[in-house]
Amino acid sequence: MNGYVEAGYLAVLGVLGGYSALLLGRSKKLKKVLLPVQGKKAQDESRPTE
Amino acid sequence: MWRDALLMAGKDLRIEFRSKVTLNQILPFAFVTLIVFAFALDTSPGTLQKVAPGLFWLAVLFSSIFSVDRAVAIETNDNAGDGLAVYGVDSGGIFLGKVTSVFVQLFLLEAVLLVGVVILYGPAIDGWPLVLLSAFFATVGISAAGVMYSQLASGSRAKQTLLPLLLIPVTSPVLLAATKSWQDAFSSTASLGDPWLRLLIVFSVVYLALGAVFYGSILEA
Amino acid sequence: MESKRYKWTRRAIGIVSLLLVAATVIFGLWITPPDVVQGQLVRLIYVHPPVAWVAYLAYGITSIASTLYLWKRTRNMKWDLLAASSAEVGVIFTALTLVTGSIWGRPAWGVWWTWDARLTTTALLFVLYLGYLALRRVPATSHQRAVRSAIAGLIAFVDVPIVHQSVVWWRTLHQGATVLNPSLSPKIHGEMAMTLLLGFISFTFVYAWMLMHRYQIAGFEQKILDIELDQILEERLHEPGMESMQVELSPDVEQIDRHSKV
Repeated sequence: MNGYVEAGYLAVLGVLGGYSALLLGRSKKLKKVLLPVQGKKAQDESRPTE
Repeated sequence: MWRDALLMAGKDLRIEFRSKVTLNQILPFAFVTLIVFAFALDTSPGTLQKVAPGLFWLAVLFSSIFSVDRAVAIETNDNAGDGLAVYGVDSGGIFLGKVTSVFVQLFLLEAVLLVGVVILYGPAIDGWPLVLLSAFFATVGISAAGVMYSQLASGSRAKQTLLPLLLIPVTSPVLLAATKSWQDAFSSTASLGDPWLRLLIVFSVVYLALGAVFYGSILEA
Repeated sequence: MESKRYKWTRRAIGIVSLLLVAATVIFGLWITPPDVVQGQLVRLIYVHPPVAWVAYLAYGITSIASTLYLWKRTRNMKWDLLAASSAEVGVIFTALTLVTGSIWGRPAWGVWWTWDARLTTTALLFVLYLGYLALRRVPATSHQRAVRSAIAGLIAFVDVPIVHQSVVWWRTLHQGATVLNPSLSPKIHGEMAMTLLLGFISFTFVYAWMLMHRYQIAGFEQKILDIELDQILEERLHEPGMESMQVELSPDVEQIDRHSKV
């Protein structure tokens, strides 16, 4: 085509793709942090009843 | 509320009168910007006259950042603001008082600065009523938006860098409108029906109203 | 930690938006014909206006959520997190609006940037919401941060029409608006209109997916913060001499802890 069109589409797809990847990575990392903490909390709460 | 506003304005102006920060620091700063603007541009005849209104308002806008920062810092330093809350001073009154005090300081600064602009850049001023009225409303707008944003950004260590980032885009219509209406006033097309003057009035009214409504919530939070 | 329904809705929206974006790209780049006046350049029309629309939509949602937080009857931390999430996604789309506008402007007008009213307003909008996001990073208690940023978000939104009006006057009092130049405005019909509509729908879906994801992340962060604060409080209460903490504190949390007047 003419270079500009490709650049425009690339910019949109690249930035949106990059941001999505960032979001996915961040939520994965946070889930990892949150899971053991919550699991521990659940254990602590369940212990007295055992 | 009005009585509280007057008391606050009086108190802040008295503090300023004793500390003389505006006189000794902010005013010289504004003057330096006027001089370096000329370095950045060109002193060839015509150039500076043409851009004089824009440079003037840019200098005012930059100086206003220091003024509003100080106006709020008086209260946040040593938690003096908590004392005001204890005494039951109306938050709308605090806001209007701060705006009045900043307005008075900026308006005086503008008066001195205008003399500087006339001497240094040499523009011819025709429409004095338009010059005064647009300066009045532009300063009200800058003071109102400035006090509110300064309070929003207060308590942060990054305040010095955060405040300009927040304030300059918001007050950009004031810069634009004040510059344009002064350009009209400096040329012979001055009339009080100037659309830019109307924009300045709208801006100042909107920000005074926003501040009166929200300032309390910012203080409480 | 995350309801199944939320998760599946998000996934479905994600898959749909992927397919829609792919379709938009295929239609935009290959299936639609080049324009009579603009040639290949018209293909940017399928992404630029949709991206700009999403930016405005995002800021609209930020303002609604901010209002809902400020209004005491509907006050809920969720609105604050939603406002923040939408603003961040909005900033991304505003940046893309500027980039695609600039890329279109270069061949169409011969310059990367022109002081066109819409372009200038968008640039200021970008900075306004960057400021909003910067304000959110200021250490404060959750409520403090929520109130401050909600007010800042509302002020920014109120400012937009004023900024726009001033910039429109600034430009039109001196020269005609370049964008509205009739010789440049493309005649859109048939296939092209369909593709443009497809663009609007697909980027709106992308926005929805990003918002859901970002919102969830905000929720996680809030939860982690709460848990850490709880832990600090508990440790201080039970073991006054103990310095070592089990959870490694992020600097933000330390600051917040110090700042909060609890």
